[in-house]
Amino acid sequence: MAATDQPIAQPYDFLEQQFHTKQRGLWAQAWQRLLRNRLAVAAGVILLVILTVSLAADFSRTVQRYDPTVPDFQATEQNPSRDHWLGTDTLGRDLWARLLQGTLFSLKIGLGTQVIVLLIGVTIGMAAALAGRYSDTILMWLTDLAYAFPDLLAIILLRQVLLGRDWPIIGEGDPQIPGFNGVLLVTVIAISFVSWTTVARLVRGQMLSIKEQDYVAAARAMGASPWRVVRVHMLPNTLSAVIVSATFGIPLAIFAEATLGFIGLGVPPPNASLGSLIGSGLDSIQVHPVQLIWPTLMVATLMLCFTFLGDGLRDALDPRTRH
Amino acid sequence: MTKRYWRMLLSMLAIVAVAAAAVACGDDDDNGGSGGSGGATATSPSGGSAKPSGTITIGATQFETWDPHFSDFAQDITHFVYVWRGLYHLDVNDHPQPAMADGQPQVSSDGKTYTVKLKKDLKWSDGQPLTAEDFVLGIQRTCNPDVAGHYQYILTNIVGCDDYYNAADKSAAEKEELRKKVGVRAVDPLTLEVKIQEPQPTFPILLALWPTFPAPKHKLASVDAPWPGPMENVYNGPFMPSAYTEKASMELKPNPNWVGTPVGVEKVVLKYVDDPAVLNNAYRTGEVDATVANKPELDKLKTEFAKELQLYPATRTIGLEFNVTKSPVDKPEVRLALSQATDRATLVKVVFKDANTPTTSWVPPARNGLKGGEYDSILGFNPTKAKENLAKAGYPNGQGFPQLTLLLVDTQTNKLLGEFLQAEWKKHLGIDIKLEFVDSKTRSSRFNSSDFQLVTGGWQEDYPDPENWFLGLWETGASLNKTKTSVPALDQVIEKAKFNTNDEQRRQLYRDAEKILLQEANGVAPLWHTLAAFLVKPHISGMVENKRPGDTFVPGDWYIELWKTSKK
Amino acid sequence: MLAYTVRRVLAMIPLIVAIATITFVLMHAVEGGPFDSDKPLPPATLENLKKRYGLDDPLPVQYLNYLKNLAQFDFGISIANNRNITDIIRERMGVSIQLGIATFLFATVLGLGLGIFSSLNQNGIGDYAGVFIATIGAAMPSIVLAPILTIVFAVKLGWFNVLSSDYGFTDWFRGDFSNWRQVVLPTVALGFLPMAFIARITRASMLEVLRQDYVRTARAKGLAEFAVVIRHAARNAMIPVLTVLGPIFAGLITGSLVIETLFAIPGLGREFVRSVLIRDYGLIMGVTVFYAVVIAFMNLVVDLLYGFADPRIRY
Repeated sequence: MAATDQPIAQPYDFLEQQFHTKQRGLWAQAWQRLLRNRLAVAAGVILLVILTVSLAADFSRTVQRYDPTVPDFQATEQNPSRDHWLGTDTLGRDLWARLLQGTLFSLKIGLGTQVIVLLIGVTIGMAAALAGRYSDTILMWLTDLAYAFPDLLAIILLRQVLLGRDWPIIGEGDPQIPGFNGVLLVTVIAISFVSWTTVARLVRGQMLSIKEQDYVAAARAMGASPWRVVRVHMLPNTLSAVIVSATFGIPLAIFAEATLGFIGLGVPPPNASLGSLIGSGLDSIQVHPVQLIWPTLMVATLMLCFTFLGDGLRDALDPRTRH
Repeated sequence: MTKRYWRMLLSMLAIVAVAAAAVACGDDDDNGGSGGSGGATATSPSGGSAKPSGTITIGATQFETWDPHFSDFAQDITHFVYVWRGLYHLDVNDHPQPAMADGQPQVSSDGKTYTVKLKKDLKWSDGQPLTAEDFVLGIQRTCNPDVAGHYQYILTNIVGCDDYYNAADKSAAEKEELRKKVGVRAVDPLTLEVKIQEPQPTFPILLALWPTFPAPKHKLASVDAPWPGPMENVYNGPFMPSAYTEKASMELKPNPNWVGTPVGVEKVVLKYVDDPAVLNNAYRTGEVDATVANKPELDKLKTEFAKELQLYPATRTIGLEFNVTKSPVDKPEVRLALSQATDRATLVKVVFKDANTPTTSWVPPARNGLKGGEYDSILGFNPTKAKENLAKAGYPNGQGFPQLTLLLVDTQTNKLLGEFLQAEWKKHLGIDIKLEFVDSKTRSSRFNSSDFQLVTGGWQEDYPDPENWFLGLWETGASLNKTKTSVPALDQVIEKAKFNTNDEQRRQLYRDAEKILLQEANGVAPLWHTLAAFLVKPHISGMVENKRPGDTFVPGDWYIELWKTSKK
Repeated sequence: MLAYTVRRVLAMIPLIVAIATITFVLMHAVEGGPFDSDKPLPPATLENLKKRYGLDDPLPVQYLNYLKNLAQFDFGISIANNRNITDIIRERMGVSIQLGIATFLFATVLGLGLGIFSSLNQNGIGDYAGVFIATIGAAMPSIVLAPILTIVFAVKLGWFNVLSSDYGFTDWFRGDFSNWRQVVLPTVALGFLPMAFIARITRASMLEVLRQDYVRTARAKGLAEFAVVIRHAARNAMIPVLTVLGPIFAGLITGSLVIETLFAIPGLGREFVRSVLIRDYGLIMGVTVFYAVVIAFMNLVVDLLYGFADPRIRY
């Protein structure tokens, strides 16, 4: 055999590749299954459209049509018309612009919450499952603690403690993350703080059961480093459950934000969320119902779409449901 | 509620009614004997119409505490006057009329000693005699540091009341000593004597308010004893509780030993509901007969319940309150500019659906004897003047205007209000202010420690006199002066007015004080007077509005005995 | 099993103390105190009030006092209304538990029914109908659902009451159903979301079980479809459902702020949020600790039940 600059293949590389192929195959198959689920596809498309339009409105006045923060006292509480597609609110602001602004904000809350939930949940769940008995006990005790702590109290107190400070990023000081102001982040942090326990438990349970699977034992026997085993074999297999849980978590976070608005802890102007729009809509339920109808329809659409997408993802990703 | 319970309640009511009739007859005889001193007990000439009938259910707000010597919550005070009465009671025009007292008080020539005769044979609802000792105990409770009554400050003129109240850290024996020094004593069971430090023309009004209500000596072992709850307590007012579930409802029945105008209904049910929108729906279905109107719905209510919607001016003023020590609102021109750049008429129309009255006056017209509008030329909407003033302050067209934050409680209405003001000032002055929304306790905490630049706030009257709109509020360093207002001329006028026994002069001095206060928007630029809005079914009569703080819940809260219903 | 239970119960003690501590710290870090009222109180009154409620002590002393009382199950006195906090919690909890149990039954029975029904008609009209019913009510947040239900069914149709101040079932056991007009709307409004959740889990779980060999065997040996579904499939499909029922139950009986407010039900959820908003320190602590105990206890019960349902699980 001539010397080449090709590195000499390690015996397990071959197997590894096979796993990779299989892995890719898994995702591809899942994608195929998802595409066959008409309801889930429709839900996904609708969500994409909503996200695109509300993002576009944030950048382009053509889509947004009116400034959502500028009142017009001559045109208050109008019903839908050619000028104002969805009507105007109590202060005469265009409801189309307001709805898009609120939708984007709520989507940011939903997605942002799930990002943080996954970060905390996966880390703690994984550490508990893999880092030995003592860490497991301590981490699960922490999880129990966060779980037994009343959600609403935690949200209210955290929000109270964090909101309106001069801190950077999560406060009003510099620097700020563009598109994610302090109010948004505090709301996200407060809601995530009470939502991560489910994911942590889920990940721990999945990891514990995968740890015992044959292919993991095989990979370990072949000398793969523990980190590699986790990264290549265990995380992807946990991921499906986590993705599904995150999909369901997004609308729940949007709901939670709406409830906060109900007790007077909603997002303050000039921000608007679907929750704050519903809040002001409720005041007008008898006099000018369109103010309530649009944000409610939007929340309902988001809830349904994420639910159907989540169901579709679960069916597609869960190997046990393969027909 | 079980049927059995209903039957029980009905039979109980029957017994009570019989007993009440018997007692009433006895009282009538007594009154006949003593020559019936007119006033409240006079029976109507039409004769036997006194028998109460029917039930009225009203939407109410759960009270916090049942203790009249402790509480300062409007919803509590509403309840207190249903079931207790003081020596006097404020009539519809807010003049004190004898209630438990037999005629007006005798005032000594130096104006510092009040002697009040009680009606004869007064009884608590359990039949025990109600004497001057009970009134002594009531006032002592309000002055008691361990009770920590919120309204002690209105009795500060009573001899020794402050000394006792400030003795929280002293030993029990020392407190007992100070208690005895409080200037109130029972000369005999029917005669109460109160000594005050300075002659105070408004003092008789205080004898009609809850801090001076009697305390049942036979129920309280000492001045420190805990105040019994609704079902354990005894009463001297027109009604008394017959059933109570916290946060749900209370039922009131006529008090058999009530000596005032005979009550008109045999049962009043208070339903405790937090959300006015819910209450209005309950009004629509007939679950409540009277309620506050949900103001955001006012436009609809005006047509839906054209005849049943009642709007009354409440004695409450809200405006822009400035912390005059903080830049930029330390400059009078800035304060005037902000006030003049606010279109109050549009504000009230858009944000409040005309559920308030735009104003530039601090004291409501009912109280200062003026017509209103006197300060429009100084504070009223005038964009040109506003721009001039801002330029005079050194910020032409808003250039270089420092950061200004408006602090608001997070409610739907306040969001609209804040955004309205923000937009108005941007439009007329070219300045960008910041809105900060916090929950109500945070707002109060910031306000009470003067940690704010600009808030919306104002005053809700405690008792019907112009002095209540100034004393302690606007004098330099006064305890409620959180805007840090300090105008020597204002201090002098208030000092002159304070214990002035010449009533006309006194009222004129307070009018002068208002002028000085508003001249440069010192501390406040009034925006609106609140209207109280109620829905009352047509079958109810006798809900007489008299603008008391308690009346923010139902009109005529202070005259529950006059309520009647034609529905059986 | 007993040893396991005892161990879990003992583990609750540090959990409760930790929760009490965190609450205490956060609570006092929040701006504004119980006596910061709209109308500022004079300084002398503030002093006397602080003294009356023991808030004049330094915080560490207050904290230790609190823990000492907690050990004796004494939650202290509410600052807002001078009542014993244990009494307040007991009264409110009674109502919230009744609302919670009724809602739980509603959500579980309907959710299981819809879930099983959907799974038997997979991807058919029946499936979509079932999923639709289960999701449509849950697609609206309860702050919107409750007023809409009220306006339609109470105000317009007059079938039910707007106010549910007498919510409860204690009288029903004595044959008195006079408050039936008060119990329907809040139960439905609160129950839709958990119902949808249970229906979805049941459907997914049923679909999985129906594919199992033993179900095929049961069918093959000619058992009636009803017997197959109920005896073989549904029973085994219950295990994943059971794991979500526990947290749902705990969530429901601890009270719902929104439903309690919008139907004027005197429950604990409403009281709790109010206690936070008005900074009634004692009540905040009392309810938090109480909730923590309930949730931790429910967790334990679910784990034990899980053991009964799935014999493979050993403690």
